[in-house]
Amino acid sequence: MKKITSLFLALVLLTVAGAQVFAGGGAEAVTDDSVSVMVYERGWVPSERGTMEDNDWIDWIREDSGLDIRMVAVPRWEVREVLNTQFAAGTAPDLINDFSRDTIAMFQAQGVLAPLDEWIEQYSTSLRQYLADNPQLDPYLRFGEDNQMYAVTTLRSPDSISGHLMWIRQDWLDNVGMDVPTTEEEFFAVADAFVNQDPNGTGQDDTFAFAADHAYNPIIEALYAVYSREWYVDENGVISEARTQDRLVDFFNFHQLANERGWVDPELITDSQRQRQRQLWVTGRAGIHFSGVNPPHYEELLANVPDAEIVPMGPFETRHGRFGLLQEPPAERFVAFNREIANPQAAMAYLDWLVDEGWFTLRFGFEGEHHEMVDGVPKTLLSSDEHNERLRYAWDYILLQQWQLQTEWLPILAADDPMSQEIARMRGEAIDTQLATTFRRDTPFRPTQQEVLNFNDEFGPVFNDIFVEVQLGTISPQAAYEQAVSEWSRLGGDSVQRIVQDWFNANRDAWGR
Amino acid sequence: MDVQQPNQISDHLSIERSKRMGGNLRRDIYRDRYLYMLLLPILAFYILFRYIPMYGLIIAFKDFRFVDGILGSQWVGLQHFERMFRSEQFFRIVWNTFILNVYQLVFQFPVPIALAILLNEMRKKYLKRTVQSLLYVPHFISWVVLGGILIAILSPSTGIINIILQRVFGIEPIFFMADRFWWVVVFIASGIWKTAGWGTILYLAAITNIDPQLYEAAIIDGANKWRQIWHITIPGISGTIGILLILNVGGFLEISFEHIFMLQNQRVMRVADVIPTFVYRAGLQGAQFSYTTGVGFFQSFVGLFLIWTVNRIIKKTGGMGLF
Repeated sequence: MKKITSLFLALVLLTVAGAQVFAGGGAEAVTDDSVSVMVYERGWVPSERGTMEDNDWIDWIREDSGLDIRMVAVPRWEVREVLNTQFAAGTAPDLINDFSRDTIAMFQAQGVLAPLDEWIEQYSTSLRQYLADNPQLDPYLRFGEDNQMYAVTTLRSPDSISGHLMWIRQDWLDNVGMDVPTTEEEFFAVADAFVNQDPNGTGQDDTFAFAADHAYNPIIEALYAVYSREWYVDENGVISEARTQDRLVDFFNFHQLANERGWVDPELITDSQRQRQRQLWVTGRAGIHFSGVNPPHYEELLANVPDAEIVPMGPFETRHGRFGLLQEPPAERFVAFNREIANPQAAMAYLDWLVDEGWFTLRFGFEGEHHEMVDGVPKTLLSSDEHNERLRYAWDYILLQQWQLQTEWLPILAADDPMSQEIARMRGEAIDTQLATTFRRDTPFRPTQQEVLNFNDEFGPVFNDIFVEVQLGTISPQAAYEQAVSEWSRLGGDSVQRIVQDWFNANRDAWGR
Repeated sequence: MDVQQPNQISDHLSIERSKRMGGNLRRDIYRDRYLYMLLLPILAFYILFRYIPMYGLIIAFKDFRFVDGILGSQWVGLQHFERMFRSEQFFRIVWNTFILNVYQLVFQFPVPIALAILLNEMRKKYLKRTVQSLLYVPHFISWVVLGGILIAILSPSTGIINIILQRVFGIEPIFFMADRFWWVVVFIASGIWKTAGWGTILYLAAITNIDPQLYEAAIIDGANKWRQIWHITIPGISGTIGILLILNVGGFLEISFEHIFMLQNQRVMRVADVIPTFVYRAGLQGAQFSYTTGVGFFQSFVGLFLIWTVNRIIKKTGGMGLF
């Protein structure tokens, strides 16, 4: 009869009984000289190579770094859930990492992370130097009221800064006699044409304008600078949340039109794995793909539609201006230390080793076997299948790295076959297109005060209801916007705004805003 | 005609009772010590996994942080409950949970009873066995798989249901999963499909306990099938029905997490956001352990209250209660 609370009660029990049976990730008792390191499990390791916790690359890491490193695999999309359980049970790994700063902030607030300033000073060499050389990373690493450093990180490379991007079928544009749209008006016209003018020439009404991958809604949010839970500062220095901006009207309008005019597949909402969307795209039934800088499912698309030609498309101009699509902040993976870590010195030595040299081999493999140096750039010797089998799974061991890509290197880095070269060229073009318009981010990261989070639990579902009504067309974009703003106030959003305003005012100088 | 048949559970209870009244408990335990030893693992299980964890409930009255532990975290009194009762979302998820449970009770609960009676009336043994086995199959399919299947067959463009509706009846495709009315229908119907077959087991067991002489007597009196079911079978299993009803109502605010989580989508959240999915979201993803423990506590409390109420009602109306 306690099925529901049992999740939490089980969690709680673990602390009581000190049980280790439910460690989830498989953490065991830690000896003094070993360091356990959390690593994402993405199911990338081919079975003949072992597992994410035991394979040839881990052997190499131990050998080359001279440290007793143990990996603890955590499912990529359940990092918070699993670590929460492990911290409660006292079996969490020594080093944890995540791309999301919010995850680290959450654990810092729970008090399970160790402050790092002293240890870096005391034990670290290369990483200490790296952080001193890149002071722009510093604000991202400080948490809580004591403003101590609770995580370390390295700079993102341009290809990982560039986040979302749209790809459009150039051959479809040619068929309907249009150019790549640069304004909202042109974009809407192209979308209509893609639905109504039989761009794929089948003589049937079988096309959608969009293939809405996971980036679909984030891209539309970014186009109107109402990005999810972001806070925006106006010219008077007043800060306000995305879901209260007047630009919401146009954002709602886009979604309403997309549903009304059949630009987007209505079954998107039940297509949680986006399998249908992918199918629409690769079978040549959708004209604009919402994804990232990698040409989406390009080989699969060509196999079905040999004449397909796709080009990257940057954000269009709206009446509020042109806003860039998501670009990541400069900090890449956040690595934090479990408070219970037995051997911080060895952990620091491991991070030093990674940032010095480990990252390069884990990323590019061995010279002569996995890559060769051409003009100072490590050119791969592997086909993409070979890469997946032999090197790709080492990716998530690279907690810290110093890679900074220049897009003209892409063709050198890629394999020599025409397809790889073609994809490399397109990818370079895409990264340049993506970075050409800056993503609007007025605070380096989002506020994480408890009041803000609690408020979001209340407001989030209410806003979602309004959003659904807009998509169904039962309420006009203008009315939806007004409703969102009044709900915001009614639920007590104004006091949350004051908290965030204080937070912004207190930090704006440090952030240089 | 007295048709009140003692079933297995009540038999067991009456033996227990007479033994306790009979006298020296300690002597009894010593005498049956090997039997009582068999009870030990179960007792250990309940103490370890059901009673000790209740101690964790105190974090509903604390500001729980991992670093401070359960005992060390700061007391905050009823703060989390205040937040809960001020929250509109809380009332929404409680209401959704409540209403879905009412539907389940009304539409889902009677189905296994009817199925069991129908199965009991089947004369061909092999046919009965086959049908029974087929009815059990859905129980063994996980909601993750079932959710995917449901979404596929209910798809407005490619789903078989809509194709039939369109071809045969000329009805426009219905997007079942995105419509707040149809979604609830799908949710309840899928629950019936998955659990009804398995649910017949207890009732079938109860039916086999009915004295065959009663049926023979009824036949001699000229009762037809319908009369036999109405006057013998149903009264014969009414005790079981009552107990299962109590158990069902006790879990009133519970809802199978996997079931609803797999079928949920953004468009139906207004009717589909329930306590378990909220606890998952705010608790495990958002680390708000104290608050969500409070919500879970509230749910258990309501469950206990309902169990007690229904138990009283059943006893008052002359049925066998659970306690």
